Amino acid sequence: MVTGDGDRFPLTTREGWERFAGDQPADPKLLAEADLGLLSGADRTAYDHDRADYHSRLVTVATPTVRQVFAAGRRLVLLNRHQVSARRGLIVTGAAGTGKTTAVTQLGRNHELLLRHRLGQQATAGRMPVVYVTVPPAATPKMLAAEFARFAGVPVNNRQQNQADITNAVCDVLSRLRTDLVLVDEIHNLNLATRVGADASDQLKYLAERIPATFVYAGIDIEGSGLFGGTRGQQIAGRFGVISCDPFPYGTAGQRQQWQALIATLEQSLRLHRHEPGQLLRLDAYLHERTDGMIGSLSHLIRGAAVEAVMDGTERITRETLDRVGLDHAAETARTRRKTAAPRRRDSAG
Amino acid sequence: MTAPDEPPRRLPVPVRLIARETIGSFLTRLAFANSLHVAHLLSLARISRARSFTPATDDTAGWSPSAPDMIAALAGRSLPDLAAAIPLLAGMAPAGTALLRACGHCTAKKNVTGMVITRASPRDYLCARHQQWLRGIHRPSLASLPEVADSQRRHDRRTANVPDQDIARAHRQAQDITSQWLASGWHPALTERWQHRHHRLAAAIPGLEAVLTGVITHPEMLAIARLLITSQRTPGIRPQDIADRLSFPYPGRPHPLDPLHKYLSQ
Repeated sequence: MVTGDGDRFPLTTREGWERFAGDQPADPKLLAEADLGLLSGADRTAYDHDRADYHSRLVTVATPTVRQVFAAGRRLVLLNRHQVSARRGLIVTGAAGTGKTTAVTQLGRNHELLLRHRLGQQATAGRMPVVYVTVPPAATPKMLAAEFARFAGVPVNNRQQNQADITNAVCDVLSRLRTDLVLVDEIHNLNLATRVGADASDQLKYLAERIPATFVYAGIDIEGSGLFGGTRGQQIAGRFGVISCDPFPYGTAGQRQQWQALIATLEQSLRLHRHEPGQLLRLDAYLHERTDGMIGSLSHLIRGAAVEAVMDGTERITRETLDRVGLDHAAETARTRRKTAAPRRRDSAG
Repeated sequence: MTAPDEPPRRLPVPVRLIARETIGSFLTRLAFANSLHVAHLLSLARISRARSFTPATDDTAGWSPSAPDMIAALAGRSLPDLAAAIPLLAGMAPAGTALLRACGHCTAKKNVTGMVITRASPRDYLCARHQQWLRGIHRPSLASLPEVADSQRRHDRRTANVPDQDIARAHRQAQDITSQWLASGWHPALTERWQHRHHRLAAAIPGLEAVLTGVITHPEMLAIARLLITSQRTPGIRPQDIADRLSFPYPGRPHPLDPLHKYLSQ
């Protein structure tokens, strides 16, 4: 009885990560209208279910930020390979929904796939090249070490093992499995203003010293969170490069072109029977207004509308379909704010 | 961390399987590879005997019914795969053979750096490839006694078709004979040969004072074992055959109390 299936494991476990890294979602083939009519009721339901499932994931778009994080991360992994201490790292910061997690997980996935390709499946079987953990709220050093242990699958007995035991076990196992990229998400949960938060930050630094890997942190508005303040912060600032994930702007022609390219990529991946190419592209201004240029919100909006179009049988994404899909609170609030601000500007102008 | 009925997660660092390994040795290696205390691993495997558990342990005392499945899940292998290498899991009863520390050079070639305890087969006395004696506490190198490893190779080749239990019985009888011959000095030529081997071995391993009876009498013990096996199939072994096989002047009319003569006349 080997529990190798990753279905029941989240991304912050080895099994979940392996599933994510090796996942190649099937691209459902669109049937011709004539063939569609020949499907029985059960077959049609299964066909629609497959397409809804496909649209629920859609594709991960290689945005400029994703490409920048990948290039910088890859370069750092290579530079750090022979570094015995003071390894350089990377911090990916930005507002919520700007694609930080997508960027760092894609960096990890690409790194793992490159390694599998270079060394072969068999040689990488006994390795764990990438570790992906999230910082829990109010994290203590022991909790942080336990998160690493949970990812690796090192069993932790909280009552019998102290922080040093867990940390040593984690460092030994990850060194043995030749981990060379560690992704730490939700780093904003570290509050350096508190004693516990500062201790957790020290623990992270200690892990970075013990595990011969490149550390990449991701979190919301890290510059403003105090991570670079004080003596500890100065050391982090001296070793980590920062990549900022910003919402897509929609001001200049060039910026609009970049936004349209993103929409076009997502539109190309749709598998809807009556959706005409370019239909979504014409709604680019509306989409930017709805999502405030946040790629997370845009992806959710288009995926939600695609699933809706499959379910209600309209098989196309229109403005009405998009209107029916609710977005996250931040995007909706920003939209309302803009709507209320716009008439006032007009009033003051007039 | 794990619910009672939920199978545990596979441990991150797998360990290689070594043929005929004891369960104690396997679980100890698995625990060390994953930086776990053995007691912690045993609790995960639903085995409640941490106090008396050692690498030489090879029984199911303290096992819950789910222990074999738990061990397989933790090791990340199927139970039949494990049972093919670990005799205890195949029969759920301890194998009757002696415990043996596997050749360190052979296990190191498989990237296994810790001690490995196995259940010895009746033919396991030494590692012919690495010239290493494996039985007992002292495990001298056999580089100074090449005839010992040669005799083992020859013996394995000539008795390849003999069942293990026949080999084991013949070896027991042959060891009894050689130890009596050595203790009482039955055959001076043979005693002189063994003393010469002892000197060579002692010169190669300074400080080793124990008389490694098993090592120095090993080639003759194997030759006698083959004689005993042959005599079971075709009775009527002549003293001249014995002299030829053992390469020493065995008397044409052996003493009635000579242990080999007694065994052959039974």
